[in-house]
Amino acid sequence: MDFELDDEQRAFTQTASDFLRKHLPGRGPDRVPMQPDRAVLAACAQLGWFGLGVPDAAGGAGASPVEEALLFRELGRALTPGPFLPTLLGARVAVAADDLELAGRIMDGAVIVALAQPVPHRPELRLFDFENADLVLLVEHTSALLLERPPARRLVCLDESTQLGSAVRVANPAAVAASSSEAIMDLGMVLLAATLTGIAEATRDSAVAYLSIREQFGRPLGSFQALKHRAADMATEVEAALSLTTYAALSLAEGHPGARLYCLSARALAHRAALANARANIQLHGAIGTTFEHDAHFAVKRVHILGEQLEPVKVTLRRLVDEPSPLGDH
Amino acid sequence: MDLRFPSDTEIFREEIRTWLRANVPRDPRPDEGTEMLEWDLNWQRRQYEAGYAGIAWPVAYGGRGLSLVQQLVWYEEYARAGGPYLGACFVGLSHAGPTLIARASDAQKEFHLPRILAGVDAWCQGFSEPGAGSDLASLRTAAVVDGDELVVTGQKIWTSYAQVARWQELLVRTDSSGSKHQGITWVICDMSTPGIEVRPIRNLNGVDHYCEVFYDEVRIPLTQVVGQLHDGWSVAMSTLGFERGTAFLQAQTELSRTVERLIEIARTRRGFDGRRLLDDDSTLDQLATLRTEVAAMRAMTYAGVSRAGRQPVPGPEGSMTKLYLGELTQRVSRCAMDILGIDSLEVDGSFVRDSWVRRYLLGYEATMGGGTSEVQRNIIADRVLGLPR
Repeated sequence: MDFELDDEQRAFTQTASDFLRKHLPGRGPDRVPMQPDRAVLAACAQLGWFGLGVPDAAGGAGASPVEEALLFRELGRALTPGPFLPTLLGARVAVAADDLELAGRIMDGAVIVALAQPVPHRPELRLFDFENADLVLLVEHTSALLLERPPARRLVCLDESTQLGSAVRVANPAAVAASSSEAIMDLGMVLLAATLTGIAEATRDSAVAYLSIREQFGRPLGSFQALKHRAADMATEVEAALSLTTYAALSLAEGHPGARLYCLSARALAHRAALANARANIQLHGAIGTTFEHDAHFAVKRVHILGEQLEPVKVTLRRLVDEPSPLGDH
Repeated sequence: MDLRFPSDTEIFREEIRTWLRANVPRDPRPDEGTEMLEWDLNWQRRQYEAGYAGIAWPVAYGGRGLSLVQQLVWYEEYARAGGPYLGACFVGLSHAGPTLIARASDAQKEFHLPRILAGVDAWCQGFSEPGAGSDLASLRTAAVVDGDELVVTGQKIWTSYAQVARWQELLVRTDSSGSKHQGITWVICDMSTPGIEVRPIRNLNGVDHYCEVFYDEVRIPLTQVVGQLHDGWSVAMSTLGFERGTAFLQAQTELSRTVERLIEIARTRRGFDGRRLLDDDSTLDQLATLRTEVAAMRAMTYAGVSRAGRQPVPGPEGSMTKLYLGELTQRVSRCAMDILGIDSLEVDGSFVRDSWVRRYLLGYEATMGGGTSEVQRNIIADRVLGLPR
């Protein structure tokens, strides 16, 4: 039983975070984090990101959900927008569908996959970060489908750094590749949790840094107990989310029979943690936290985006209550 | 990184699971008095005789000498089997004993440790005072050296089991000339010494649990001092966080049992509208969230034990787990009260075996004992985050 990163994992995390700092997030007008273009996505593919957990035999890097979670934690920390999650999951769908040719093209960055999300009771899809994508990943009932990217109309999105699109949802769409949704969703839950954990960490760090330098009443803000306690709660949210996400990734990697409950729990809990910390970060920055100029709002907005991806958090909560008891798994 | 336990640990798990299933007491634990003491000591004795006392304690003093991870597994299986609260044995096993292991003389260890493990003596803790709660180091119970004895005069409060314990880990002020952390001495006090008076305090759940303890020129031999005279603060701090948080897994497993039972009940019980409680969105949200939080508590315990295996001294991160556990314990109890509805008004009502109403009341202590939630937040802010003082 060991929760510490080994040297290889440490080096991998460092490489990922260095790459993101160097190439992403580029900032556009008004400091809005920019979507990665095809060249950057191809560079990410060269680093092996989209086939990280695909077995060597199928052309991937043969890593486990633990390394994949480390990558998404860094993406969350840097608040990187882009079709990383659906492209990685798309490669998995292709492998599961035995379409190794397609899997190979996704893994080397030639095919990019965006996320498509159904809208309840309306024949519509919402597409995320879709403008550079060739395919979309749609999880419906028990299937994960890769579809040709439908024509879409760009919507004004809550999060300025996310591309939100609206497309028509057709019945029984023709899939380019399809697999069962179970493994895709389990992994997706862990990677959403990891992204959210990264956001919870980054917002904690941002708040702590500000509390340490900003002075009022002749003292640093961080010396006031009321503010210390809010920061302590932010640290505790991170500790819970990070530990649970690690636990979930490990139990998935090791194929534990009760892994699904931990994957679902990690997504739901990390979502709450990230939202709590992102909100607290705005409050602890005072009025400056409510301006567009400060980064704090991007974290809150991104958490709302992530809360609707793959499945709404409400559905995750319903599913996790229906899982068997964790006490029966030994 | 991995979650797997070594194969000898899994063999150990099977062994203790079988033993616990057959041996965990099923008769109700008396609430108070010598009946309760005998019940607690008797259960401890049975574990000792079977070789399951002090899993990670040194073999020389009657322990098993096993690893932290095996200790963790013990707590998990203990709770899973429905093992009782350690009760009157808690302070000896979880605090005084570990302090003695870390800092006592060979003679002190040889005498006391086997007696704690074998369920011969119960211990209590004399730390807090009416004027020294969260600010423990400001304690004022005075001890004067007179020949080869300390003469103690003063008052302690919030001492659990003082009425029944044979020994007390006692913090006294032997020097008040320096800073408040200096001049404190950690001493073993025999509770049968003349001059000690114990007055129980009735808890909000109607049970006598905590006590006030008064000392009127109580004479304690200097040989009972643990560590050096005036160096008691460092002795007391050496075991905060002892067992490196492995005991959190017992608490976690108990919370998990409760939440699972609540989910089971919410699946079948119906409200006034005829719907199952679990079909109510707010109940569903509450129970699902508790399930995620109990899972997080488990993961935090694992992460803490893993961290402890690499740190020579426990770090301040344990305060986050402690804070989380205290708050979560209360949320679980409150949810139980919600689910019981009007049945929660009857202390020994239809769910008497789960003792949820009693546990709800007891839960108010979960954010006090061992340092309040607010003190934990101070520690996290200052020592984990490094915020300015």
